[in-house]
Amino acid sequence: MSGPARRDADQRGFAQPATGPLQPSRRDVVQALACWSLPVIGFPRVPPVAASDAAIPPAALVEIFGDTAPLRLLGLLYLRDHARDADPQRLRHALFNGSTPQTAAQMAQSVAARRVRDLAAEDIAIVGGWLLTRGEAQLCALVALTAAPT
Amino acid sequence: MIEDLRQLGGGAPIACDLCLIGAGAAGITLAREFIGSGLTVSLVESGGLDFDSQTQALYAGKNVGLPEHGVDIGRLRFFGGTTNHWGGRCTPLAPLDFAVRSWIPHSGWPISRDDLESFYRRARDVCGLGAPYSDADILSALDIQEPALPPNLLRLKLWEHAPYPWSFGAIYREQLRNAADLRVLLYANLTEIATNAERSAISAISVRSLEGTTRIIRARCYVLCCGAIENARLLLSTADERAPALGNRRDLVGRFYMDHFRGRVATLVTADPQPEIEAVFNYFGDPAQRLYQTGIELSPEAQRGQSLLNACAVFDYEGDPESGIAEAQAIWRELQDGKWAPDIGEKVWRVLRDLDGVAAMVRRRLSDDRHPVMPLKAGLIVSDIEQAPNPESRVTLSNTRDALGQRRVCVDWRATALERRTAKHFALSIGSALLRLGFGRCRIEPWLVEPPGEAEFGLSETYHQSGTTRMAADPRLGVVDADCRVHGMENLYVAGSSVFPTGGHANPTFTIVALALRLADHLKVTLRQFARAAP
Repeated sequence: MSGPARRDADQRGFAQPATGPLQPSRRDVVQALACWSLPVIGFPRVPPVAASDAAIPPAALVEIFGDTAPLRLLGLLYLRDHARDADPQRLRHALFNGSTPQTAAQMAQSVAARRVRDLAAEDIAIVGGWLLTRGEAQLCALVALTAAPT
Repeated sequence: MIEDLRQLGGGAPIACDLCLIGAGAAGITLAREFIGSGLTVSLVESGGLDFDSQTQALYAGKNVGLPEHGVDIGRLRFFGGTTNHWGGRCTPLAPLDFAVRSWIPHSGWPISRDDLESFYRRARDVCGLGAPYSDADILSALDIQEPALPPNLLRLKLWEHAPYPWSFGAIYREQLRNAADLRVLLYANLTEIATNAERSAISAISVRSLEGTTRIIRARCYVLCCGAIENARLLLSTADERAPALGNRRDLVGRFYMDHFRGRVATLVTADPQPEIEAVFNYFGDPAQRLYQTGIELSPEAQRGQSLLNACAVFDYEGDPESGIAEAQAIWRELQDGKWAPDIGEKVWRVLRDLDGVAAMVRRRLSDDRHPVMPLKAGLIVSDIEQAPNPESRVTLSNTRDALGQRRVCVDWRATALERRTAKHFALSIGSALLRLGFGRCRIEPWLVEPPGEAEFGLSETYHQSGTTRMAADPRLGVVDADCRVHGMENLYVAGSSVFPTGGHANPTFTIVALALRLADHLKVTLRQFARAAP
């Protein structure tokens, strides 16, 4: 069938989705984003990380998330549709009130607290079809912008 | 009695008080209501007691809209009708489903849920559901912890299931056979409707077998009970060069054709192979062998607040094919087929390696009657979306003819923008709620998040055809009135889902039965009035 019956123009209420070839598969994510151990998947390399921006301690990331590759991919997808967040300083402020946590425990605490706030406010983003809280999406973006591949 | 028109042969017209055309959920329910009433009833059925492909072929039609396989295979044309493959899921339409909803053009029934309440209670018995209990009592008995879904957005939905199978033809055959004033006439296809000169009343109908045996039936009242597509086809077939089809002065017959749109709207993933969610949203059996299913529905507040259609969703759990229980099932299936898998040794080893898991799953299945029996890989969220009434979604007559020389049906099933928007909001709402509740994380189906216009419509049919002879108090807006009588006709009625102006998300059979019970009460009064008025 053709014509208007299959179409709608509604985009209200939710973030615009990411589109294109960078789509994490279910198998990729099945390892569970819920506890933030994101899946291992391949992704394009991001531009070299400036030393001054690499403020998230890689060891803390690895301790919490294991391989950070999936976070980087989701971060890239998120940034594609949220160019305003492509600023490490802005993201650090949004996530950690400007001071990046130095230990895994501090980071986990910050991420969990932000997640609770986002869920209460229903601040949800769609990234590659996956539902992430805004803070989760911003952390992925920060990882994509600042952290070296692990 | 049950008779075969082919053996009965031609002869004098059959006279009766009420002629029911079609022996499915509506026709059989109506017929049962007249047993012992003192009124004589003829129930004519196109098919026999069992499926036969020649009769079924009369249903073949043309499809020019969205894919709608239900035209050919969704409907069954033999005694019991489509209940012969009914899944048995029962729930009434919600009160809001009956209301005029300003955001849904052409919505609104001329009756309310309250008007149907007592008939829904009576329908429970017809559908084998037994005594009613509140949802809270059932959930408590099944030990289901109700999740804290956002109350202004989503609600837990509980469905009851008729015992399976529950074919009306099989269940009620002997009762109808033994009924004194009831004549079931098999292999009798309605081929002609005769009216008075004003075309305001039916004077007789003609039924014919595929072999050519013909009989006339004269009744005081007639009810079409053949389903949404066939009811429309039968009415449209009465048009000739001098007059429009019966009930179609305003070109409404066949329009507003609806189904429920069904399909996967999201996938839930979790690292837990036995996640908590599976104990909340699933099938459940109780000690009395009754089957229930839980899912999620859109709240009335969300429908109103966000201008959405009604919608519900269930979880279809996808097992891990590499688990021990999956291997055990594969071995069992092959043994049932009398085969030994070539890699049987490896399969058995995988079962042994996961013996604890296998034992736990078998125990779970036997003790709780719960699905799935495999460790989970993912939960597929499958939604039924109400269809917005759309006059361009319609049933018409094609130019091809069936074995009886009757014009076949042509179905043009269409969606509007509202179904897609409802599916998207519903999926996002469910995904957000499940994330908040810690049940897992959802991926929304790509066709819902891709820019509109770039994705295929991702929902398909459910064989819940409805809406082609819609009910409305105003003859300008509907084909039948609130009593299911065709506007402008004295003695022609329509039963079944074709009278639904809107369909909510509820499976239609339970409401078809409730409406048939209501119509039966009306007809008993009407027929007695006719009898008193007759010379």
